[in-house]
Amino acid sequence: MKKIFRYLNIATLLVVLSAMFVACADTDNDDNGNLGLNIKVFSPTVVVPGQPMTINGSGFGDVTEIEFPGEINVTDFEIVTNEMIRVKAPIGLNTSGQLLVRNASGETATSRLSLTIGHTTISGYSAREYKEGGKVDKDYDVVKGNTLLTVYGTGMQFMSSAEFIDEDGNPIVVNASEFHRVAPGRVVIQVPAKVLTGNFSVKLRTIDDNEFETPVFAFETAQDGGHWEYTRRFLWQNESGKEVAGWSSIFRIGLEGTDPDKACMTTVDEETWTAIKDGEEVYFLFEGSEASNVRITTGWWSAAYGGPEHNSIDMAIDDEETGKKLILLNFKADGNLYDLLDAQHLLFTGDAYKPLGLFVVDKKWIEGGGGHFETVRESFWKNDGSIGKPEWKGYYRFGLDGHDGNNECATTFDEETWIKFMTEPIRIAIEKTGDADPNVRVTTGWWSSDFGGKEYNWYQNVEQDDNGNMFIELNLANDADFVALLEAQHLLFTGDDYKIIEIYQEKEIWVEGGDAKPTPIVLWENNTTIGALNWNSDYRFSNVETITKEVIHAFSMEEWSIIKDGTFYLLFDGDETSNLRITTGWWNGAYGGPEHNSIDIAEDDPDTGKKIIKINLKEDGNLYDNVDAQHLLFTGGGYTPLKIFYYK
Amino acid sequence: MKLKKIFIYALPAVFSLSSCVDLEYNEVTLRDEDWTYEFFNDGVKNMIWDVYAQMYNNELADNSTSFLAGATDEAQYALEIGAVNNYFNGGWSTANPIPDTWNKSYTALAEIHTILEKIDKIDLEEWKYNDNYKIWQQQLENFPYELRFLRAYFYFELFKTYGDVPLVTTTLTNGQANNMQRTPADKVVKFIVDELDEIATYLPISYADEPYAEIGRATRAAAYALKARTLLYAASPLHNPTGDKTKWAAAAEASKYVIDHAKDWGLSLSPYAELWGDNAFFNKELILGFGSEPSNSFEMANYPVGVENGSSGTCPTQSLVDQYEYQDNGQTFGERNSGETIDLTTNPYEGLDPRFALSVVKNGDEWPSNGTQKKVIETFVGGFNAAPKYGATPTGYYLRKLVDGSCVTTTDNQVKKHHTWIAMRLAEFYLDFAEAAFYATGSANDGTYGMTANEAVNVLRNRSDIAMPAFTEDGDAWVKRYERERLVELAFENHRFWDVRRWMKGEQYFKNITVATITDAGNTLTRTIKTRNWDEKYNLFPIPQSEILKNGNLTQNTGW
Repeated sequence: MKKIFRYLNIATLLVVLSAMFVACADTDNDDNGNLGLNIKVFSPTVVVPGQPMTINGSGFGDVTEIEFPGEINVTDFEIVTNEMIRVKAPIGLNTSGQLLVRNASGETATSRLSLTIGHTTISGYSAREYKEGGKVDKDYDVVKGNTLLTVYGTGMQFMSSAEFIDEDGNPIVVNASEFHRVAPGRVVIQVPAKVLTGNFSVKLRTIDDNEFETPVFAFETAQDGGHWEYTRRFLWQNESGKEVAGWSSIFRIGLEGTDPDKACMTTVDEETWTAIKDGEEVYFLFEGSEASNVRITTGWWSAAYGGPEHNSIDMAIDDEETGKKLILLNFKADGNLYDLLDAQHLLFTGDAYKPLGLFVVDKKWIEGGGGHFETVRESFWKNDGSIGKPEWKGYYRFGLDGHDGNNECATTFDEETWIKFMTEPIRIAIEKTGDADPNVRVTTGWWSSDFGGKEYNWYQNVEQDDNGNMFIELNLANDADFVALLEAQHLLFTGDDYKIIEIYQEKEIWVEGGDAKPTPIVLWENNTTIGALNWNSDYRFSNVETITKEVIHAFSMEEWSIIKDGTFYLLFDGDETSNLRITTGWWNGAYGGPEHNSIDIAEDDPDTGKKIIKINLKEDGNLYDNVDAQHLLFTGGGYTPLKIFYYK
Repeated sequence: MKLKKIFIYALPAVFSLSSCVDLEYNEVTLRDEDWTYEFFNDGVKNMIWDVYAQMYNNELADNSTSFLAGATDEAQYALEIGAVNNYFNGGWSTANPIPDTWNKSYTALAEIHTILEKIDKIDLEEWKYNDNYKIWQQQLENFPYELRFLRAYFYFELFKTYGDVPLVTTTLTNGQANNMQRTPADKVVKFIVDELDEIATYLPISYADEPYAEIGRATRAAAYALKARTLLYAASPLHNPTGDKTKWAAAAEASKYVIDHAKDWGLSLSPYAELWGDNAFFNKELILGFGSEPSNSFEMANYPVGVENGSSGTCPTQSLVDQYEYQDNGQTFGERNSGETIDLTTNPYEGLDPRFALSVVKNGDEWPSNGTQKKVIETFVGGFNAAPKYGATPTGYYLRKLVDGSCVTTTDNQVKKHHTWIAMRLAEFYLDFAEAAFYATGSANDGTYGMTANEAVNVLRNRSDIAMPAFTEDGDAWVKRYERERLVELAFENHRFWDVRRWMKGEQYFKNITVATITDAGNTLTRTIKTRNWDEKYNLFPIPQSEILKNGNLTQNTGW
């Protein structure tokens, strides 16, 4: 039964203090406090070689040597104070006995206590080892990433690390400082999220370099710990719409500042150029066929990727994502063009294909469940280079389709996009045009009102995305009065010393992922006749260990771990007027905050037409610490709980 | 030598670094040493609890001199006789060393060393057939690490308060105690950091999984958090006069470690309003907190005069209010409403940082929140909760943060709630990291530590219940805004008192305090400056004169 720790109030404090005792030193007590060389105590008293220890006593100021049992002398130690020494138990220590300290005058002092050599033994694990041919859950357990694995034994406080294997087959070492718990009788290790899905032994090491191999366990990468996501990041894209035909020299790309004759279609900044030139995996995406002749060369036609006059179509593979073609480039490894590219540029020539772009693939670990969040970018407008800095004029003016009779707008948007502008956060990607900090004014085409306040300069809100590009995020919905003017007056970005590159929106959308659609596993279904709630305490749940007669259903400990630590769902029959209080059996606290009505986070369940609410007690925190002892209670009014389930 | 019978231990009024009293006392006593070692709950465990109990300085007790806001630009105590005013009215001296951190800490340290030196004598063998024996053994394994955490904690308090302090690591005789010398602060800091590094691994992440689930004890997060806080103080100008960047770097790394591991340790940022209240002890942002049994003393001390049994207490200043920013553009209240008078009919408080309304009660607010006592508060002169009533707010505002409005303080039918003093919470370490990273790298946009100072601050600014404009500044502008952000976020949590000291900016922030006088039935606010004493010697506390007299090796802090 849980007992909550509370600090003692002052009255209790005095009672306790009256039971205190104060120690006197056994040794001499002369006027200047010089007690001479003496060891009072050391800790820990059970050690292994290499283990940090502290020795407490007196007269340590000129200690020169510490003698460990077995006559092992140590001179490498730290005198913290005249009364404390830090030292590591020496390598080779294998005998129990007292400690001795020796000072510069040759005086010695021996400890009252004896030091004992520790040993680690392992007696068991919290998971069942893998059984070939066996069945999961029946014969062995699957240990998932981000879950806890307990190793039982003695001398477990000497554990220093645990080595797992990750998805790429590389070791992941978890040091003891990262263990969930270290105690003499057990260590509790959080299995790394990215652990390999497979069967292997874990290597456990101790401070004194002993190594233990666990039995083979079946591991699985964290389901709720996330997954790798691969996204394409374009270094260059063909915005011209043109194709390569007849061995033209159109598609020439160079480093900024190396094209005085303007021979290049585009030049890129140094970072992008380095990514193209030095990248180990740069993908060339193009539209073509086996009949295409893809010559990747320099602007001077001096060499070719893959060898003299090489047609790289033979390296092309089908791109599953776009249905186009891909060639994987590595200029450094290829060697034919690498040293020439800076001066001579990169040229895609040949015949009968259309370059689409050059990209690299970024790998990102995404926290999340069986599905994942994906950032989706929708571009509303891109500056084709024809508009420079605004110079306090009306260049960056935008309106709604059909509301620009005087052709004042750089572009107009359809209604759907316009509504997004007015109601959702949008991003304005900018770049400075000089050294001065820009002034970014968001106003109407009539200059009648400024968004953010009179003459507010939005540059002070500029942020940088993951690629270091500057953007300003606006949420026009914050100012209804301003929005009301825009249909007639248009939206104007003015000011100076900057250029708008793009107007876009980024949203995170949940994408169902994994190999299979998540399966709902029902933990409880309402087969009772209790019916709708009216602030009664009938729908009370516990685990099997804390069950009492008030409980309607007790979950197994495994199921309870999902209720308490995981994400589960309550399906219920109710509506917006229901009062959904999720609390403990003691009515102590509420999910979502004091007296919170969780109907505000309920959603419609498309499968049943009922209502559903997603619950994570651990993340919420309000009930988590009490729910074991006090149980979980669904109460309130105007609804009937139907089912409790989770997704596997 | 076996100890003699226990005597009644009284908190010493006059006391050197530890006490070691001759135990020839033979009257009937409560318990002896053997008894203590052999009884787990009432003996051994209570010894540990007693040390824990001394961490709490009664910050939330009524009229507490340990609620330091009234000695900063955050607040003015309602009554001039309030003991907290001693910090700036000349009442603070070596003979009146309020509060007595020196004696309290060294008492606690003496207890800790006593237990550590005798812990091997604990013998529960007699109880091995008791149902709880195994659990007691498990708890006993943890005690040395908890005690070492507590030792580090008290040394941090000593270092923070006095700078160089005697580094005592064992029980002392009177002779030893009276001959101790002050250890340089850097060495004390090293001791604290080394201790915490050594023990952190062995402290549980959470006591919820431990026997008896006694949350509130020292955790791994508390150890690393204390280390980070210690290093921040050590890097600050008061203790780092040369501006050694390696100290800032160490502080940045330590704070980042806390941030990076917070999730693993079960920590997460909380809605601001949930940092106090009946359930605050279980708040997931809390790293270390001191909970108390249900009470309404703090409410009685801080409810406005005019509310039954309300005594006004600690009243927020206009200096504080002026630092809150507006949500639309980050301008401060003081910048947007400059000048000696403000027309309150324009509702200048609208659109302010949500933390303002959660921390401060202003004229016209309904307060307290309990149905029995809720009323519209009138802080204008002549109003129901204002001058000329005795003890009314001298600042125009009343305290809301930490005050549980659901407590009822009427003479009959009182409602009392649990209170929790926030000793450490996660948000602090985002701010600590930001400060340390800024000074270590010279920029608020340098990502050397995996996060820039601005990104760290913006984590707090971007909380859904806060939603304040992001930090983008650098250089001096950043420092100014950061110090303001830290004041706002950690208001009334006893950080400001120490922050301004370690920055050595007392002259800037603590000398001239602006208060508001609200008149004209609440329509006009007039700013007034109140001048307080400030002397650079206040950055460190005076060592109690009684200690200096006993020990000629103890030198007094400069200026005292």
